[in-house]
Order: sequence, then C-alpha cells, then structure tokens
Amino acid sequence: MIDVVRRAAAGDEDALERLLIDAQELTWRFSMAVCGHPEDAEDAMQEALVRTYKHLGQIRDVEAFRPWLYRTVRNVCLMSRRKRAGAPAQVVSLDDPGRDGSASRTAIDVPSPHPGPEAVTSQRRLRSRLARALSTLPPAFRAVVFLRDMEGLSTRETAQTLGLSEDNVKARLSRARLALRRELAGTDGMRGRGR
Amino acid sequence: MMGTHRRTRTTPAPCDDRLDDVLAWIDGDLPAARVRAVAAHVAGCPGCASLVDELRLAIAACRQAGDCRVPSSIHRRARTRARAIIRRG
Ligand SMILES: [Zn+2]
Repeated sequence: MIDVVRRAAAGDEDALERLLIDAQELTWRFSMAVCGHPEDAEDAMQEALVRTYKHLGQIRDVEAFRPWLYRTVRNVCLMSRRKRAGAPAQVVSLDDPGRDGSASRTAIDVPSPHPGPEAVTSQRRLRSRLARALSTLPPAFRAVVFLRDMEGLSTRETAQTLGLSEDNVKARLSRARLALRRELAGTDGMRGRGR
Repeated sequence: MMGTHRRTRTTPAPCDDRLDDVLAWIDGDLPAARVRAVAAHVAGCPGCASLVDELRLAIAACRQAGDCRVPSSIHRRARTRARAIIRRG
C-alpha cells in the first residue's frame, strides 16, 4: 500500500483512484461488519472518500496513511451510525440479497478461485452463521474482531485505531472469540458450556 | 492436572482455570516458559482441546470472511465516485 500512497501523493491518477476505491471499500466492510446498516454504509463511503481525497493532497508521512485510514473509517462509520440514533442496531445477514436483486446488501462475496459447489455451500453456511454470531456481539467487540481477524491488523494497530490499550484489545478479542465460538458451535447443536 | 471438568453429554467443558492461558496460547501471546505446559494440557484434555478447535474454527471463519471481495455493485459505485471526485479536483 505504501508505494501506492507515495504515487498517489505525487499526483499519479491511477494510484489515487485505487486508494480512493480502497478507502471506500474498507469503509463499506467496516460499516457492514460493525454497524450493519447498508444505508449508513453508503453515507460513510461518501464521507471517507472526501476525507481521503483531501488528506492525500496534504500527506507528509506515507507510512502514517494506513493507520490514518483505519481511524478515519472507524470515525465516519460511527458518525453515520450516530445520525440514526434511536434506530435499532442490527446486522444484516451477510448472505441477504439486495432489495433490487443485486448483491448490494451482501457483505461478502464468494471468494475465488472457483471453489466446487460443496465448498461454496459450506462456506455460505459458515458465513451466514458467522453473520448471526457477529450480530450477537456489542459493536465495540465487533470492531475488534473486524480489525484483528478480518483485516489482519496487529493488536497494536487495532488499539491505535480504536483508542484502546493493547490489553483491552486482547481482552475484548478473547471475549468476542469465546462468544463467536459458542454461537458457531451452538448452531450445530454441540453447544458447550463456555462463559 | 485436568482441573475442574464438568462434562456435558455432547462436548466436554473446557477448564475454567486454564481459559486465559489457552486463549493467550492461541494468539501466540503466552510467555514462552508456559507454552509447553499449556500445549501438553490441551493435548490431554478433551474439553480444552475441543475449545481450541472451536476457537480456531471461529477465527478461520472471520479470516475467510475478511479475505472476500466486496460485491461488484459496491466496487462499481466506489469507482464511479472516485473518478468523479478526481475529475472535479
Ligand atoms: Zn482442560
């Protein structure tokens, strides 16, 4: 990413376009995984686009871009969520088709390269179970799971993004994983005790 | 050695007093001096072993979800907006 950031900051339009797309897609993933409102996700993408575009015009430290982006994405998602304060929080199924029949409400596409039909079915089943399991977690825990396990950020990067201590990130991740494991196992009828 | 198991008919329960160590072990956060003892416990304890399996499944499911691309409709809208803001300057 750093090379693309450098080129974008130097005025390379292809690099700029790629970063602006990346920023919006990250925002959409965060929004869908953590906040769960497709309408908010569109607002948040627009806001992230504008902020990223402005930021790239005045960037000094290319290394700092990624952490900046994650913090910004988190902030715009929380803002668009706050706008609808009072509305019930919900996480849509990651397999829910869009209202227009498109995949606009589907958080996760079937990954390539071409898995067989059985693999697709079992992946799909696992994803919808995961979506249900995630929806049982408080948003603050979903954010930690998203950044650590889905985006692959380190404990330290996650802590910086969310303004938490590293110990706090570890503790939330542990609790979230225990809850996810309970939910995922529970739907198979092999619910253990857990805590 | 086996701690406090309370077995259910389906899955044996993990040991409460080992839970923090097992969680840290899965994340690679356990101090090196304790790794061998925890690994040995998990290998010999059905409850903790199944906890580890289930946690690994949950982690793998999250990683797999994170590896997937966004829907093409979202990608197209993101690209259209990106091009528009670049054109406007
Ligand atoms: Zn045990």
